[in-house]
Amino acid sequence: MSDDSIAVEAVDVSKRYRQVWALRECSFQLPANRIIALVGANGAGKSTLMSIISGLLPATGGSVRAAGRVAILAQDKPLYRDFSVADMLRFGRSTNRVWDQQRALSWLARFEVPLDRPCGRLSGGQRAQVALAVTLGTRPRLLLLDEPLSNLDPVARTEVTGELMAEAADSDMTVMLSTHIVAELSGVSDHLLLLASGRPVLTGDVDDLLAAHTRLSGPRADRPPSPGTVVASQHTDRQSTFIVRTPCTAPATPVVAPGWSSQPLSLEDLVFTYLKSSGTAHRSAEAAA
Amino acid sequence: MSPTTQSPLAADSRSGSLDIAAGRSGGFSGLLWLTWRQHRWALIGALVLAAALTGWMAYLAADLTDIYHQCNNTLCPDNSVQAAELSANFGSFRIANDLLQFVEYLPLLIGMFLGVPLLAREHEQRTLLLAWSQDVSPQRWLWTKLALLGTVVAALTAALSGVCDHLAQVMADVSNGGLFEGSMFMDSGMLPLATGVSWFAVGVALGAAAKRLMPAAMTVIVGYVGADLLTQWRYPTLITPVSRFVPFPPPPGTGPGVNALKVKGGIQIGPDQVVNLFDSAGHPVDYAALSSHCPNFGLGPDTLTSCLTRDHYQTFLEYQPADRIPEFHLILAAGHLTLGAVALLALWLTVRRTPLTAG
Repeated sequence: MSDDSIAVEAVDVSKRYRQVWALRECSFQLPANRIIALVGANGAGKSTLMSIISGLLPATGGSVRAAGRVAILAQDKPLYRDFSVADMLRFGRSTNRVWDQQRALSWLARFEVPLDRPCGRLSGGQRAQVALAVTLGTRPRLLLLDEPLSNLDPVARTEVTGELMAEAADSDMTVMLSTHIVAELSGVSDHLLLLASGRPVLTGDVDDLLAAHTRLSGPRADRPPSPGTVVASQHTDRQSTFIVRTPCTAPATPVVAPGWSSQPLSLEDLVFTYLKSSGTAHRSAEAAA
Repeated sequence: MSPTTQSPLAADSRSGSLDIAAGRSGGFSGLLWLTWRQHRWALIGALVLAAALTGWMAYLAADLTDIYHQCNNTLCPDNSVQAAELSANFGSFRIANDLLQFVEYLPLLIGMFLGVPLLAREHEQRTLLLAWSQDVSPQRWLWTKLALLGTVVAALTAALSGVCDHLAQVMADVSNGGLFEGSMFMDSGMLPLATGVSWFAVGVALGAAAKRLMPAAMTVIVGYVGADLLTQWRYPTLITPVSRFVPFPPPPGTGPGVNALKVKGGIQIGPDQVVNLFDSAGHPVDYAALSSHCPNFGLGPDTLTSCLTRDHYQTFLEYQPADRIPEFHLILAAGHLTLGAVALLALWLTVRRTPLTAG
């Protein structure tokens, strides 16, 4: 990837809080102008990674580089409760070198947030919109959203994700959103970074990753009938199920032996499979240690 | 590509309302507005209180000056109308004294209501990440706000210090001294300015350390009262006092003088003991010796005084002369300002170690 096409590049990034490693030797490149899902279980290191990318938190080791202005919106979407919405926009203008008032106003108008109301008297959804408006008003090239949809009802989630996708498409903005609720990501993100126990275990374009993985079910066997890396396997007395990552050279539809069936994976299945297998591997490593 | 910590500018100007640098966005005026918007009620309260106190004390000083002039610029005679006015319960002198005592505790209020909330409220309301994740760096955000609020505190306490100093001088005139004692000493010589600025810094530092408003405010109260008590106890001997034996009766010009601070002096005669009484050779006199030389001293003060005079008894006097007042003010102001500087250093270290994470 050329420099312009990379939004974030991390090389061996680690972060330790006293004796606990939150991140360990994370290396990855994330493409620009995309919506990137940062997925992981609670405590996987998502917030720490975002804080390091934003420059708020120094890494213990390694380096991170991001293209252009970086803005971050924390999980609890903090606002000054006694500020009116208009005051919050003025706060954004007062504390940033670049400020797009029109962009912030149009975001608020889309969600019909009253400008003169104190933030403390807004609904949870409206507060989230104000926090997003302030963040978008800074015109970031990279927008980091930590659990952005956690306080929103299902309708608001759909609206916000839709508008965010439109904003990202209209401007040269890369959006990185973290979540541990994979169902939220369906149809939203086009790139995935999966963290487990502070390490990246899967990264790539969502479509490519889904195309490269398949679920094979058939009679009891020690190995799947087609080439590829076994990500996870499950066996009963009479049946075996393999989640296989096919090599790049393999055909899109794997050759399946008689008695075997092949099924594509959903994004949710893919994430769960990797989280589960990395959790098992982590526990085994700990037990061995 | 650029390091994230440098927050590089990569804006386009497609939008017609885009503000870019040049003082329009993120500049000093922005932080000025933010400081005003966040602390306006505390600032308005401080301004109103300072104006009220300054005006009231200036009026009282004028009133007391008028009384002093009526008494021909000397101590008013005991039975005069002016003396009665000065000793009245709600007279100008008593009110002025009460106001000076109140002013002595103003730095406490400054620390609690202007210092502590600066960072403790951001921690408590979880808005610190919001404040510190913008283009304005945390250090610039903090030190600009500190400078702005500190300037207001300095201006208000300087005005108060000037008026307090004038009022204390007038009160000393009408009461024949006292400038080296109590609130009249603590509120004169620009000490309110030094203590106000110092305890503002202490309040900010405690707010940053405690990260909660109430615990930090309580600590300010305890700390200030403790520091005040320590000062009251320790300041009379910050410089070695002038000391000498004074005979009975003290010859003219041998006393400590107007506005001096008496550290040790006067004799105490109690049951079976005598304190601070010496014979003409400078040896301590005990109760038995006093009873032997002055068998009738219990009959009254005149009898005692005549006996002490006759036998050339002496007492030991320790005092700080009035001309040392500016020196003492300077020492105390330096002490407070050092405390403020230590608080700022602690604040800097605390802020540097404050972890910021999005989660």
